[in-house]
Amino acid sequence: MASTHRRHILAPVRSNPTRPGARPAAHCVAAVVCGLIACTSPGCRIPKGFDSPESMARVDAALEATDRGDMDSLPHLIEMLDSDDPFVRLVGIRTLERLTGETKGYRHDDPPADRRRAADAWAEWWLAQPNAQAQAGVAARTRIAGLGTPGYPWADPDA
Amino acid sequence: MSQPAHITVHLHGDPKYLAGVREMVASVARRLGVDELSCSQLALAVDEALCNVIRHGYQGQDERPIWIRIWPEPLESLKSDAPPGIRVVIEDEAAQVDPAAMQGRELDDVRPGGLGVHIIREVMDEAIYEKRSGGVGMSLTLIKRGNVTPTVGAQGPKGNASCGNDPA
Repeated sequence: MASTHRRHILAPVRSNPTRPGARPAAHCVAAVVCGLIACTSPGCRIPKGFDSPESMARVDAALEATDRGDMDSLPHLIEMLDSDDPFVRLVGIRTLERLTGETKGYRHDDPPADRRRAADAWAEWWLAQPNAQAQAGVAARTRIAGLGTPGYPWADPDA
Repeated sequence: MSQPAHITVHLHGDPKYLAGVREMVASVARRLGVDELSCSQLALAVDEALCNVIRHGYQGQDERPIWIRIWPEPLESLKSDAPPGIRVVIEDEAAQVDPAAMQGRELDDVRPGGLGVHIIREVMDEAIYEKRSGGVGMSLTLIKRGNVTPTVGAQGPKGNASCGNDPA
C-alpha cells in the first residue's frame, strides 16, 4: 500500500500551484528545453537538483536542503531511500535525520525488505502530514540547534 | 604532514559557509582526478566534520576559527601507482577529547550525536582524529582515494592547467 503511495509521493508537490517557489508550466517547459540545448553544447553540465538524472547531483541537492533546513525537500529525500545506489540512500536518510531528528529505523545498508519497510513508514508519515508544505522554513535552525548537546557526546561512554 | 599544504582555507565556524567549503573541496578533488562518487563522499564527510566542529566543538559560536588544508594524495614527490586521491585536514580550537573515544555511534543507535563520525569513517578511506599540539583543538585527517576516471578539465597534479590568456 505504502509502496504504491511512495511512487507517487511527489505528485501533490509537483502539481500544487500554491506551493512557494512553484513555477508555471511554461517556465518548466522552457527550463527543460534550455537544459536539452545546453547538453548538446561543449562543456555540458549535469542539471542540478532532485530531478537530475545524475545521482551525484541529487546528493548535492540533499546536502543543500540540509543547509537551508528545507522541509519542502522531504518527499524527494524519501524517494532517495529507494535508490539502487547505497551512497544516495545514505545521504537521503542522513538528511532526513538532520531535518526531522528521526530515521524511522531506516538503514541504508539493510537488506531490501527491511529498507522497504522503513521507507514505507517514511512515506506513510509524509502522507499523514496535512500541512507538510507549511512546515517549510520552520526548520532552518534544526541543523545546528536541533540534536546537539554540549561537548562531543559520542566521546562520553556514559552519554 | 611536513610538506606545506597546497591549499589552506581559514573560515569562521558559521554554517552559512558549509556549502561553499563543500563545493570547493569536491571541486579540487575532481581536478586531482578523483572520480565523481568519491568527490561526493568527500563532500559529505567534510560537511559532517565541519558540522561536528560547529555544533559540538564550538557549540554554535560562529566566529571561532576552522582551518582546512589540502594536499594531493599521494604527494607528487612520492612515486606511486596508487589512484589519485586527496588529503584534507580540518583543525579547530575546540576543547580536546581523547581521539580513541571518537568512534561514533552505530546507525541503529538512537542516541543523539556521533552519527556524523560513523558516516565519515564509512565514506572515507582514512579518518584520523588527533589532538593538536599546544593543548588546544582537534585535528581530523581525511583521505579519499578515487578510481581513475577521466574527468572534463582534470589535468592531474602535474597537468598543464592554465588560468587562460587574459592579461587581467
